[in-house]
Amino acid sequence: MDEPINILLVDDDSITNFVTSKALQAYIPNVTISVASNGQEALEKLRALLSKAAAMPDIIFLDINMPVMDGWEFLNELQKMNDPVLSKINIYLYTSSLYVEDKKRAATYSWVKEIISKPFSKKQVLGIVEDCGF
Amino acid sequence: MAGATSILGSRHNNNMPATLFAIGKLNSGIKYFSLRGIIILPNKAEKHPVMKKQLTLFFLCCSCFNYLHAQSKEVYLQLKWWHQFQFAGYYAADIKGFYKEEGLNVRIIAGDKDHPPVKQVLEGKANFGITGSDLIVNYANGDPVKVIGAIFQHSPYVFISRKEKNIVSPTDLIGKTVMASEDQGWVQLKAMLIKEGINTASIKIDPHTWNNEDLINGKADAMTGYVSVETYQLEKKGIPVNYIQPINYGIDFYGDVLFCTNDLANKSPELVNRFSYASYKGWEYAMGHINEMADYILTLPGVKERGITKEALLYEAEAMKKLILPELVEIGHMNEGRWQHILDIHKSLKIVPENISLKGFVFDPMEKRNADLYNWIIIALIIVSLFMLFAFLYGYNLKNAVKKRTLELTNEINIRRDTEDKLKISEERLELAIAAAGLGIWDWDVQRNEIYFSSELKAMLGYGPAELADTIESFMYLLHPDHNHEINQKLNDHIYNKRDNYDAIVRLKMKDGNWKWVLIMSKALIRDEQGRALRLTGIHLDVDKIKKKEIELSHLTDELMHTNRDLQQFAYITSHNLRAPVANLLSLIMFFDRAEFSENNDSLFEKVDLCVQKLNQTLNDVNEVLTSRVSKANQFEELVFEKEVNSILASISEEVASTRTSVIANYEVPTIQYSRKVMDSILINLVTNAIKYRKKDVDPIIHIHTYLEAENIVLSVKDNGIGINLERHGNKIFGLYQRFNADVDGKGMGLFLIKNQIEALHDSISVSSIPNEGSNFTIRFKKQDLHG
Repeated sequence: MDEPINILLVDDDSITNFVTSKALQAYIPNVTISVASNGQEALEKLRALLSKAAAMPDIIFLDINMPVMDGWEFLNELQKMNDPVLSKINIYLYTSSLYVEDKKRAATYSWVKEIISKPFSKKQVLGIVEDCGF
Repeated sequence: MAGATSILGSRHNNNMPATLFAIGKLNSGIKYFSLRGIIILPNKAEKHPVMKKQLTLFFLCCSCFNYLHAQSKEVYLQLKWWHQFQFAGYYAADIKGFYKEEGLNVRIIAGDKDHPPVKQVLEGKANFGITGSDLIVNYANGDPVKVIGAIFQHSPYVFISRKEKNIVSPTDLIGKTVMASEDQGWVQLKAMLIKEGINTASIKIDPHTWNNEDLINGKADAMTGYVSVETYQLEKKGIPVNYIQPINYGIDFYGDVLFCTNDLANKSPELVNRFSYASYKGWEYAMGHINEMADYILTLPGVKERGITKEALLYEAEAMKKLILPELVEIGHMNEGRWQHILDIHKSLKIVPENISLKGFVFDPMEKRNADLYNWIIIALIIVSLFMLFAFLYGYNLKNAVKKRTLELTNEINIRRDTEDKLKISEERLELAIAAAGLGIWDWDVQRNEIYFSSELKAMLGYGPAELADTIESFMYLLHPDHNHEINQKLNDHIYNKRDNYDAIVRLKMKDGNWKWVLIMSKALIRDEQGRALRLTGIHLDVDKIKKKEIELSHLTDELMHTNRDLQQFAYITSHNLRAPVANLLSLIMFFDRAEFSENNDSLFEKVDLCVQKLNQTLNDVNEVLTSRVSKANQFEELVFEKEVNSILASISEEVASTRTSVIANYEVPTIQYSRKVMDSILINLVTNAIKYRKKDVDPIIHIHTYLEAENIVLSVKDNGIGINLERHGNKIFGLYQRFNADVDGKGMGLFLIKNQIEALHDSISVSSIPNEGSNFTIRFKKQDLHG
């Protein structure tokens, strides 16, 4: 574990981002966390990284309900970019929604590895890290 | 006058049945008993030579009888107008010898402006006359006239106008110039105007020139005329017309009627009877032989000269059928009630004084008259003496033959009467059934575009029996435009595509302008070789109340669906928006460094933590309820009760062990087709409840029992706990956040949740309980195959 795990949090709620960062830092020994407050901002971040050929996030925790651009639109835009570098990113929907419709919809995006209800537990986080091959 | 009948002709043998006819034909004017079709005497008699001989003598005697009557005089009939199909019946009676058979020599006088029929008859220039129902005005004015019979059941008078004038209803006549004649149907047309609330002063009335050119060149905007004559003449000239018919506005007068003077009716009623009988017979013939009569009429003086063609006569005949109704009404039939109605309209228009009564106006063929009686006595005497002579000459042979024949006749009459009675009874039954069901009936002759609408059908929509034109157009006018497409398509299918039945529920316009829902059912009765329907018939049923209820219900359902969607949306947003901060709170609490808290703060923080945990649990439960309600995606699978119970017990094994709970199970029904999720939810809730509400000093025992009960598989979970006071709490126990024991920490969610889940699958849960003894929860599942 020389390289830190690079995680991008996309959520409009700053407290959520704060809490989530805290939790991830507590559970994962070597982690770098960046934050975007909606889908649009996240996209811009990714584009900037692409143009600089910088390291991509390993994992994105994506909220669904956000202003400007919500989680679904973000996923659509990302798919449209159709970039092999981007396709290596592991995306998790991280939402407070327990709505069945959202779960069903999430299942239609092959890119989405899982839909996780807030808040996650240490066990879940470690499982995710392992699933992503770290 | 062609073909006047000679008196001498009455010696012909045929006179025998004719005479009997005349007696049988004595009719009440309302309903009469006809002997036609029964009198077959001469033909059959020929088969019996002896009898023939005897009868010849008898006929001779009857010829005397006829002779007495025929002797009276030649008879003159004054027509209302010049020769046209309007009088076909009288020509037929003449040329077919019906008058002759009655011993009458009839001369028919064409009418014109200088020969008004009533005046002609009153002045003695004719014995009988034809005029319109305005005869009643003459009667009211004191003219000694009697009406004998009505030929036209409906009046042919209409307002006619050129189509481009767009005069389609009485109100369109306001401010227009109209050609009319006081004695040509004016009363009924005026009655229609007044009934429609039109002041006749607002219409300019010019004397009638009876020249269609005046309408064509615009001298008049409209004129009065016959629906059967002038409309055709104009159309034929290429002038499309509109006409307004009083019958469509509730004014229904008789058309042509046959009349004579009081004097003739009183002194020679039998002459009147013979004349009218032969005339009606002539009408029956004429309406059945339109072509032949048209050819004949063309030979009458003045007809060709006026430019009348055969085609025009045929058109007139067709139009007259609707007015005479030969198939429906006995020709000549009159109804005193209708005359009274016509008189009343005249009174209300102040055309006749209020005190006029109908008594004496309508000829009664059965009335006894002294003068008459005297004649009859003489006739009777002659007959009796002749009979005595026969008896003397031929012994009793004749008597027996007559007796036998009379018996046969009586039998025939009885059989016929019996059949008629039976027919009447079955007709009455049908009428009763139709009335009871409130059915309207219609019958559509597609080719001729004639529809019969029953009076019930009209009444259903608020129309009187004489309102609404009998055409498909009046139906289409009533039909709500929303149904136009559907009905056109269905009718098309029905008529052309061999679909024998169709029904539809549509809105029809009532007279008061409101819409009424009506069920229409139709059946095609006759089709031509191409499969085209020629006649359709069917019913209308008033389904207004049912349909409106249905619409109301569907609105209600829509509203409920909407509310339901809103609620789900609301619940979703609420739970989501609440969950996010709660989730954060949970995490924040976790990262709190409580080491530096004072003891007091630490215990307060402990409580904050507890509150957040509860809040989180509640939100999760609410979500669970929503999810179970929304998702019908509950997969059904075969569940083994024992396995499910054991897995539930394993998941709470610590609790079971620590409370020393024992479970006694009896699975009479071992398996069920059901949703695992719901079953587990039921079991975990009921088992944990049973443990939670245990008695403090007694080890909990839970009985789990499955069995069959009628259509259901039953699962019962019974405990020996503290029980519930159901009298106090009743079914609130299944309500949201109901807890019934302050000592126990429950969130009151479980029972509400499982009841919801169970009912979402159309099953049921109930409870019985005795405080301090325990509770028994019973779930009734429909048998598997019923779950679909």
